[in-house]
Amino acid sequence: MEYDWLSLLPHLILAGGAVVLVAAGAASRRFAGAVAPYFTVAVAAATAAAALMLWREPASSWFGALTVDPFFVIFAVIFAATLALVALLSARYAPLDGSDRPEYYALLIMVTCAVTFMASATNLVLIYVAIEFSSILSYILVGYVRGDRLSGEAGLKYFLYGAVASAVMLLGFGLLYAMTGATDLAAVAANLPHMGRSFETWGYVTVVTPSGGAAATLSPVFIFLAFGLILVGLGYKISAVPFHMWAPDAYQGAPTPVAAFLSVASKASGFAVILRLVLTLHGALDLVYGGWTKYLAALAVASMVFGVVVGIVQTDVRRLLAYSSIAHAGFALLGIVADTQLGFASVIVYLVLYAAMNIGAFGTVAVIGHVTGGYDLKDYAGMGRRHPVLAAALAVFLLALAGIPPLSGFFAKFYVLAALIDRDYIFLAVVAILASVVALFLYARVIKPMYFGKAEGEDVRRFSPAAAVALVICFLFTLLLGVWPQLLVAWAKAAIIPLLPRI
Amino acid sequence: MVWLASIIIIAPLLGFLIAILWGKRMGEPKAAIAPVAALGVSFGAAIALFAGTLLGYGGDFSYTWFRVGDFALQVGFLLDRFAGVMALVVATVSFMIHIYSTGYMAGDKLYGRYFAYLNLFSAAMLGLVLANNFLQAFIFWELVGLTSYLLIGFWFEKPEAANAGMKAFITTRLGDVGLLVGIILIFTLTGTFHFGTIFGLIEYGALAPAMVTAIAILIFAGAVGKSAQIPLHVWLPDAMEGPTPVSALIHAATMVAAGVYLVARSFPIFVAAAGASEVVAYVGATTALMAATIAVVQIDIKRVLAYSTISQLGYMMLALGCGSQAAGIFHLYTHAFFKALLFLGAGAVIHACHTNDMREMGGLGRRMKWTAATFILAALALAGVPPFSGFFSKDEILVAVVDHGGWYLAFAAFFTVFLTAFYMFRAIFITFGGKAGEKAERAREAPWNMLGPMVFLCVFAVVAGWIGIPGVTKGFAWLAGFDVHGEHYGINVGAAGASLALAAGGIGLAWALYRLKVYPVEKIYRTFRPVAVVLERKYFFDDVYGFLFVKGTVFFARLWGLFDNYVIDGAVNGTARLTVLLSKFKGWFDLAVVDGAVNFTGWITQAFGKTFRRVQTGYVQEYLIVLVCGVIAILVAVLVIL
Amino acid sequence: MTITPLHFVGVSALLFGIGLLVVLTRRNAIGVLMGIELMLNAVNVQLVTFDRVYGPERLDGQLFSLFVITVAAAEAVVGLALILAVYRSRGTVAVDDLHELRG
Repeated sequence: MEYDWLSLLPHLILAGGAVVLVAAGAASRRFAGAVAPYFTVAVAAATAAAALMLWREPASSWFGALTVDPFFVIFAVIFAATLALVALLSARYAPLDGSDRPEYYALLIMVTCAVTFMASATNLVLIYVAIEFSSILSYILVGYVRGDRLSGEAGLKYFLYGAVASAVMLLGFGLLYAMTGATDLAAVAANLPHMGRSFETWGYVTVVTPSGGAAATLSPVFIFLAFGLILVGLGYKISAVPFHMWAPDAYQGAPTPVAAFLSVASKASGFAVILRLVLTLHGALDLVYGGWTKYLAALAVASMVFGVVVGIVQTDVRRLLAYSSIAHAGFALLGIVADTQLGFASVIVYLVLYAAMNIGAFGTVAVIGHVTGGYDLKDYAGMGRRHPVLAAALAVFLLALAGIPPLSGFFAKFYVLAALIDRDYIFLAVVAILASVVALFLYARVIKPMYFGKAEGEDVRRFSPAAAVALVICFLFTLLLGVWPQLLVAWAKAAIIPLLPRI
Repeated sequence: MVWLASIIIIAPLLGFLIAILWGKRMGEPKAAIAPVAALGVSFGAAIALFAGTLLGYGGDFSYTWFRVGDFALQVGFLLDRFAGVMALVVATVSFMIHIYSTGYMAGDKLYGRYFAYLNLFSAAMLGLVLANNFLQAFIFWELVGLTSYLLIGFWFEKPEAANAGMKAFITTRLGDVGLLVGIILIFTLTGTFHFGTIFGLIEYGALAPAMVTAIAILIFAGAVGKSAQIPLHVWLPDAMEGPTPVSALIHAATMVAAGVYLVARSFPIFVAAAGASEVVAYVGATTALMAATIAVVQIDIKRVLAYSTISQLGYMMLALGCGSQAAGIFHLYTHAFFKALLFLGAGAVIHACHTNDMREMGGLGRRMKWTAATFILAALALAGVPPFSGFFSKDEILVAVVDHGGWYLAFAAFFTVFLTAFYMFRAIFITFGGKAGEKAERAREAPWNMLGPMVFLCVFAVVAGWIGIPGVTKGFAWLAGFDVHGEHYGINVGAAGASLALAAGGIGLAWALYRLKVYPVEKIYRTFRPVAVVLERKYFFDDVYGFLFVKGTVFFARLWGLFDNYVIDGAVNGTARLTVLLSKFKGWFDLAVVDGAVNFTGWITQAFGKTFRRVQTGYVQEYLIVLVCGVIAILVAVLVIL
Repeated sequence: MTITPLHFVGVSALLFGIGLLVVLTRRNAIGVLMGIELMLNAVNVQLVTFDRVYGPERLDGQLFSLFVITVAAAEAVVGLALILAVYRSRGTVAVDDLHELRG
């Protein structure tokens, strides 16, 4: 079915929801502003339901532009859940009070729509448009706080960085198109190994190869270049070193719920595209000289080490979490490096578990920042006494991020490590474990003042029930999936198996 | 059944969370509501579970926790009659002690936290007895140890309490190392943690005999630590620094019995292991005898009971070592009730007199009638006087020992009966009889919420043994579903008569010396001065350890001083403990956070961090230059490859 | 001489390089924005060239470039809005004045 409207349903619900919200805002600002968070949650729930309904055999539609498969469904559910949680966290977030509220939520919904497209797109054009779509909306959200110096600075810097990174990626897409004459991923995958023909016809070989050899010696180089350039754009999306530099600034300057969204949904969407490209173009990737996994491994190790090392000296909690998210991106990349079914599945498991704990961490930081007005480590002194519940929640989220066993973070890391050891990548596993050990310091830096610092300032006041609901959900998820990860692993495998290259 | 088992464990866990998070805010007495209710739920579920196992709904329920490649980590419940009985005992005693504590701990400033720990302990203990594999059992085993540490040191302002907690933690840890090595050994040899599979393999003879013996001894090492057997018994008397209900629950009825439980659960291993049973029997007998002799000279009422507990645990081990699983666990089961009751009675007395010293009490029988009555009934049960519960279980042990043979074992078993009766009634006559001591004059009977549980437990202390009346009831082995290989079940008139005579002798001697005062005790004391000194110095165990580990102690003191500062600082807030608790799951976390050595890593990392953060200059165009450098690196890679 | 696709690729690469240089060197945020536009259009040249290479019956390249133009327009709109917002709060549009967030 080329015109399969059903496959578009999750995207349409999101787009429709955003339009309705903007229209309602035009009709009555106060009413729309008041219901917007809850309307957003409803839209997210509908999207997740529609996506789950589409859990079925992979089906390509819209002339190959979209593929709806379990892989898409899992990511759509992650995005919808993130949307709902971030909307709840934003409900009474003070810095947003002066800004236009219904539009804020409409933008959130639209970003979710964009990242959902990233998970389903199987055409270079649609992938590019979806990535740009999500980036452009993210720039607005980061700079959303009106009249705030830092928010504006973060928005503009994020914009300039993102625009250049995606232009570089676009050049890579252009190269892929030039080599294959196709934008559909399946066609690109089919043509890429045979691309020599077209270059020969146009007299390329003689010019480009110094050895004057056949096209076969040429093509891997261009394939390599194309993938390298694409990696810049996707590395920026997942904030992997050395394309990570926007992240700390953007997370610090943005409204904290937006930072939560960026660090979870945005990152996951980048991984969705990477996974789909790697799995679909697996045959072509093997042409990369010396094995493509080496390059990803270098990126992953750099991200883990750099994220942890620089994160450890941060004093702003949002920056600290930003560096932590860079390290986590590196860890998750290792799953792709393993290049096995278990490895790919472990990435999905990682992203799901990471989503819950990271939203929880950012959410708690947002709530604490909301009631105390501070994001510095100093502001966390004695939080364990000033608000035991919030402090305990944050401690649990941070320990989960550190990978302490009964919590979900342990399993996230465990599966990636298992995949690495399965392939005898012992060195990478050791580096990953060492980075995790050092990362513990990173999180201990926040936990320590909470419990062992002198309580200054008054006790924390009550905070919004909506945010409390969001945090409780994250908390349960972090706890329960640590105890029972098996179901999630089964889903992740079901999502990966249809995509695995048939060798 | 699985649901019941889950409820039994999850209810107190929820109680723990509620109490730890909101206990302080709720204040007294509201903070106790959720924990007590949680244990009530567990108690109800444990009754249902027990009934279910009796009706044959039990079984071994395994679930895959997670799977990686070929290896699947299984978790689950082993819900046989043995587990049912254990869960019932633990839940009953724990529930009663929760109620009792609402009275005993009234006015304590850490009221909510106390109940939180008690809940956590109950959850862990119940999890331990319901586990169906060694790994799960070990996790709960450690958690039980941790809560014990927290509760012994509950009044951490008292240095004795803090030190006692530390001592208990370190001493039991020595045994735990053995247990852990044993479990790892089992896993490397069999590839599984599952009880049933392992026992099946061992019975089938799949493992080398030497290995089986090694495994048995290592498991027993863990039990020696937890159940305070010689030579690792030194922590238990000091553990009496904790609140008395804690002593009753953890250090008399349940946790210390966990070692006995583990040995009984791994019984097939001990049966198959040549020589291991002998070790168990001799360690048990020696412990029983030695601890009973020390109890004779104690003047602190809780220490009398503590040594009595050690002695009785030795008795249980002795039974297991003599090859009678049923007798050992039967005694565990009756002992849990009457010893918990004795501690609660002691707690009531201490609560009334504000002292532990028996010489300052006296004459309490008239002021605290209910307490005195229940205490005496429990003491009779402990002394093994029919028809109280202890008589039946003790008799089965004596029969097992006689059948097994060995003059030393028999001597230790019978002489301990005499000593037990003597020291218990010595304590009773000093405390409840005679004239009122200086602190006993204003003593009043305990409030109803303390007396209620005592009366309830007293009923059990009297009737619990009646399951083992030969010819009338079916016997404990039937109740707990033990396989009795030709082990006869019936009363041995000789053993029963001898033990009864010895108990009567013990009681009579106490009556003569402390009530009728036919001969001044001080004179005996002076005559046998060398013996008395040996007993008072507790056979010099603490002195020798003190000497041997002076260097070690200094080291430990430093290490644990750091740990303790960390914990005690955190004690201002309950949730800090949560952090520490979570940290227990991964050994390196303590070290990573606490130990100065690792700070070095932190320092290096920080130094690098300070350098590398300069890259992030804040200028977006410089960020982009880094990005372009990344692109150039890719181009260079292309050229290099060409 | 005949003009081959290679010549177009050369032009495209040159444009991209110039765009990148502009992005890296201009102080004015609007100048940087223009550099980005240049980079995107460089890719457009390439896309349209290869659209011709692969024959008139397939239009993927042209289609792609149309989308790129649209995206570039959207990007410019948002970029200008952000620049305006920063100008309002700080009175400057120089990118190297924006370095409060760092470290």
